[in-house]
Amino acid sequence: MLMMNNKLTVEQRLWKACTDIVGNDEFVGIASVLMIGSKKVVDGLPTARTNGRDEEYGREFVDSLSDAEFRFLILHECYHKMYKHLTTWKELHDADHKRANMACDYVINCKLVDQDGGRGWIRMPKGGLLDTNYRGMSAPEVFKLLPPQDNDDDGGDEGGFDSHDWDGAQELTEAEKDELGKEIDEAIRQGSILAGKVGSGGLRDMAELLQTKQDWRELLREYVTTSCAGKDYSTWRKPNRRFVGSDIYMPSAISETIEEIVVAIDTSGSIGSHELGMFLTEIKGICDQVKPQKVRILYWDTEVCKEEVYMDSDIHNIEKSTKPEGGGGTNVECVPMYMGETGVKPEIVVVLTDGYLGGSWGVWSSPVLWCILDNKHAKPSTGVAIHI
Amino acid sequence: MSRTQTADRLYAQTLDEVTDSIMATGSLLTTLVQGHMGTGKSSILKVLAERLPTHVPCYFDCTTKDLGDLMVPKILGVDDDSQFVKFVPNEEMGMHHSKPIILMVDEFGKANPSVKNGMMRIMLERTMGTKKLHPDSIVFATTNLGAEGVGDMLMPHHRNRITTIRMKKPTAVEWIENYAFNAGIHPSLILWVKEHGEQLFQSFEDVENPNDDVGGNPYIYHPQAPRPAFVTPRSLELASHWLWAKDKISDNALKSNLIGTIGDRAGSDLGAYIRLVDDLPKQEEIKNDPKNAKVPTTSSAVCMVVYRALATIDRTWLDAWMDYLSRLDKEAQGLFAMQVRNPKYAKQSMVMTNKKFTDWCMANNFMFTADKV
Repeated sequence: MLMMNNKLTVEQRLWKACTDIVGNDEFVGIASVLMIGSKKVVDGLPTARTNGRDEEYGREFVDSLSDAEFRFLILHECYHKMYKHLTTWKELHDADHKRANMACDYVINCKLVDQDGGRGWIRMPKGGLLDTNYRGMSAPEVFKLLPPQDNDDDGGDEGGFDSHDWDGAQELTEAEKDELGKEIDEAIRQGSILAGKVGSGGLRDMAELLQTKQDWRELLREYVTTSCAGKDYSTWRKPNRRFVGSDIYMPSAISETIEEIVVAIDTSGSIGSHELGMFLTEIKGICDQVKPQKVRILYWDTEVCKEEVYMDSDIHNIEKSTKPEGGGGTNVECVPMYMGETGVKPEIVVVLTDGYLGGSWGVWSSPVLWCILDNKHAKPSTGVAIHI
Repeated sequence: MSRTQTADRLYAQTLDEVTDSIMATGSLLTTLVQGHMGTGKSSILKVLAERLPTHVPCYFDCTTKDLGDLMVPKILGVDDDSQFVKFVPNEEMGMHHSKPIILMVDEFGKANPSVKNGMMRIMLERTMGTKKLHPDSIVFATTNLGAEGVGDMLMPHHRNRITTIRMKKPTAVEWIENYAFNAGIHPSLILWVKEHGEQLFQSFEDVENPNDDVGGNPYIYHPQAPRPAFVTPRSLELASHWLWAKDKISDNALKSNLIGTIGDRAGSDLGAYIRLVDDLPKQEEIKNDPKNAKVPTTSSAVCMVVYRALATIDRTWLDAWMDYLSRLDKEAQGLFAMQVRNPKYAKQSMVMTNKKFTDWCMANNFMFTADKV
């Protein structure tokens, strides 16, 4: 005979809910993340709270929830942990803390509602923020779309059923944050293994969470230097002078320098002066290594708006000397077209863009490397892409 | 989505078939073996040497050679005081052996253009300078797939003079059965490959968008996704060395070394897998000494211990298991009980009649309450 749940203490309900989640095929993959940090029931806390590691649940608030709502709440806090919201998006919180809270909540609630698929095993508590237009987006993407919030009042009335202890998250030392990040990362990977073992597909978002971040600077440098390598060869036609004096006839090495690199910069969209400066500093560093004779910068929107050519030693000041020009509209097809018309044949073209293009990715006659800013969905049909 | 299968891919040869082909005609014509990076092309020489004990194996690595390394001039005098130049070939070509040799010209595609031209004479005519190879000698070359984009494109006039064959990338099962067991690969790595092999051994030609969450492949080399390190059979073998050495280094160092050997994603995944495997207590320990058997430190390992017990438990050690279970987290205890209560659980009646289990249920009966709605 089943007992009536109304008689359970909140602590017992918390334990039971966690066990239910871990035992559910859909969520078994996050068992490890769920168990990271502590879980406490707190008197007087109006809703629930997390600092990205530990969770607190208000006794009266949990009392007002059904078990399906309580499970949703626990998973909601767990997802904040899993997505490392409170340590990763501090800059959003500093810019507009209500909007940051809302963005994180919209992302999580949408995922959880989708994960449940209408079965009702979990149910979003009243007041939760849900908008399916934000499906598949990350917290900063939602943040950009939300209107600015009034942060002057103390009430924190941005909606939602929990509070985010951003300051508490910042109280962790850098070493503790690193350790927590590693712990969460490993828990997600092990959870994925576990989900596979118990025959569950695990979370739909597992693939996204398992992705590793790569340093775009390293990738950019490797690709450009590799593409520009292999220009040295040797020949018997020109004897090696070092050995001629000893009556030994040896071939000599011939080295061809890299002639030209084109850097094509999208002047529309989200590429600001900070991003541009950072990018050109990297380009300059790479040029110090591969030593091209010429670097040509093309600023473009729907046409090439400005061309700057830097020769030899001028390349050293590239990020200080450049003066961007251009405006709205984005059609990269104009760049290869311009290069064809003006007879520019570089070793490599490096394109910096946000990837929101009006036309196609263009037809290129030189190897092209796309450096795509803040747009993980952009997939060039030609060349190689690095996401910044 | 797979690209259309080209004829050379369709008829790609296994390592054994490649070796047979080279043995059959190696003294008459030169075969260029193309294949994925790190898939064992260099081991063809070893296999051929085992099969042909009368031949001297010679390895010539093109990537480290310049034109002047192929041969050096030696000025000779004759009786009438005239002089001429004799070119003396590099020892690595094995021209000085009076016996038949097996010459492997490795990484031919990556050779300096002048080295490529210089090597054509020995590859096509079996001569270098005035020296001639023993007529039974075998010469073959290897290179990566041109499509891998690592500088292995060959000039048409080179290709036209040789037979180019494609070596098949082994599947995970082939690698495990034909190579890993014999090469002393770490057992945990073999297990990991067995479970994730399909993606680890996928050909980059079958991956349209390597960075996609669905249909992509974050593990392997792909020309459209620059990655500092990635999984190949060769790099897996290197990772195995780190696993054998794991007791001498910290967990952090192990993971870092794995990432540097097989890439960010594979290194992180394998690191987590190893931690999980190491964290699991042996079932025999639980059966024989439940009060002292190791308790896992990670929640995934705890869950895995519970699921393993659910699948394998029998009457002989059910009491021992219940003793051990009492040492695990409350969630783990609840997980076991909830799974036992599932009507589809085949061993339900056996577990539910166990006294220790029923005692636990009595003490924690709130776990079985109906949902509050």
